[in-house]
Amino acid sequence: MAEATGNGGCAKRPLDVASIRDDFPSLSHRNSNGQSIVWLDNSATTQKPRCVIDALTDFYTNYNANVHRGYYEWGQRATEAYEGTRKRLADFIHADAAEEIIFTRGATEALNALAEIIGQRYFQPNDEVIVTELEHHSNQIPWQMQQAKRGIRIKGWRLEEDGRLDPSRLEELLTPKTKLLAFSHLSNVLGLIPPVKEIIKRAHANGTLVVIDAAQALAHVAIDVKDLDCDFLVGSAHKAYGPTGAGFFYGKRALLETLPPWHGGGTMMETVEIDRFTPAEVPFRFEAGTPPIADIIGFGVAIDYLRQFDWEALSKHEEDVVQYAEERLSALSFIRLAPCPTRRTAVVSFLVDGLHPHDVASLVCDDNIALRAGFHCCQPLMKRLNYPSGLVRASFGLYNTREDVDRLVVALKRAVEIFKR
Amino acid sequence: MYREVLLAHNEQPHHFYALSQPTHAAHGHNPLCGDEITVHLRIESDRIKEISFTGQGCAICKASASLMTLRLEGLSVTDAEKNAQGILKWLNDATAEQPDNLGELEALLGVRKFPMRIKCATLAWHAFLKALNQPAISDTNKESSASCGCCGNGSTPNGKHLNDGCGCGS
Repeated sequence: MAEATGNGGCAKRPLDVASIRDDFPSLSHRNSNGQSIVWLDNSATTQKPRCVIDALTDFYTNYNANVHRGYYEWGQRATEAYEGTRKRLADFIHADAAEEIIFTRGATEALNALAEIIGQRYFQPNDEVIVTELEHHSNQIPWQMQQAKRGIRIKGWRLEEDGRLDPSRLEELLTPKTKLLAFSHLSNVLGLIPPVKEIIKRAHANGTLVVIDAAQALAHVAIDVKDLDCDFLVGSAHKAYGPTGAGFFYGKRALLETLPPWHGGGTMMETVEIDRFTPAEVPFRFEAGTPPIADIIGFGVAIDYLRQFDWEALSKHEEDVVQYAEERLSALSFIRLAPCPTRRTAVVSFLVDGLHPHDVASLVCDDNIALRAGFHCCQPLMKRLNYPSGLVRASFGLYNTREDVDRLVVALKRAVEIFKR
Repeated sequence: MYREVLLAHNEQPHHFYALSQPTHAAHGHNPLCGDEITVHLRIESDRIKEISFTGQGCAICKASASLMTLRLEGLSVTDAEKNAQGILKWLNDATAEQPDNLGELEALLGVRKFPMRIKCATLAWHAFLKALNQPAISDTNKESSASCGCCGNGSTPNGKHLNDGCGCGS
């Protein structure tokens, strides 16, 4: 397996988009009219490079075995590859140690696990949890379930009209009872990055724990958990060119040590008697049962794939395409962009005058363009910004190009023409 | 999918208003996309004397509702119910036989190929069946039913939906 390429010294692969596109077999698919796919639904899931697909096949073909158990060679190989992802991921987000990474089946499961174990250990009736109106349902509902279970109170951090999260509003919300603040590093609807570090600082000044949802950010924003000083952070493989079914949460070691196990089963315990068990150490305490081994190994390969590029070059390319999309779309008289007071990252959402978002997404299908339409799992955000039928969303990845944007513009013009008749 | 017939019905939907004296009404809501349709009925002597709809939705949803009103108005309650069930079966089940005399409804054929959009096409039909199966709106509640806040037809005395009166079911 390829060595993880850290920040230090290794020669980086030049960011040649044509060669990147060649790495993704699915991008060469064409529809019956011979049009190649324009994948603009990267916020939902990214396409996978061949090396990730090969890693899955390699595991199932050549060393399929359970982890942390087998005495035979395959078991060791599987364990090494699986634990290798933990190291790569820790390195990728600048965690202190691999043990601070807990594997899950995705970011949603990570948030549910965190809500439950943090809740069990730290929430008392009438405690408060703050979530923002920007959040994906998976960063809302797990906390709401704790509300029902433990009598805590959810306080919503209201967005400004322009979609901004104003940190001064946080000051009004924080009280001595505020145990936790959960918010997104990158909005999957607006492409907005809040002032993450400043917000964490303010919450910590109040003694409030902070959970960062980095599901969207992981593939687009350089994440340094030590610099951010967040207490917990979650992410997902499949939004970062890895397989579905694999994700993680990061937690500060000292905090993880205080938390109880989540699911019971194999691996998460040290000793078991008929009526009791003692939990295993961190990180295994939180990983019950056979994990999605192949998918987590593939996750590691996806991180390696990302890290072979210079991060700045990668960001610059994505920025260029997103900015170009903004320019071209705002030049169309029938397009209204959703607000984003800062530079948009990876996501451009909009409405087409006179067309329902679902009709827009369906109409551009004919040109083999994949857009997303609807609420994007963010109903409170849609309500706040008054989009009763949701928005159309184009979301970008490292393989998208200005030509993709050009094709989108042509397809949107055609869609509008069809409805004009 | 976007056949001319559907575009026309979306642009100028038939029976797109609230009835002033409905005997039955029901609300259909697709929470995943925000589409909302309320079907209003005036049933007299076991016949759909009048049918209309209100609400908001995508082109497929509105066109399907408009086509539905044309197909069902004037039919006996039994025939209309059978008709709606047949259309729903046809839309939902790719192996189902095409109902007789589809007429313009045949335009929905394309939608069957897009499972994500079938619920747009079926929303109004489900609301119709729901309306049939609800108790008739009593005379005293007729006024409020026509101006139920949640159906987008103005506001009720307290600005809220009258659960028992409107029958829109939301």
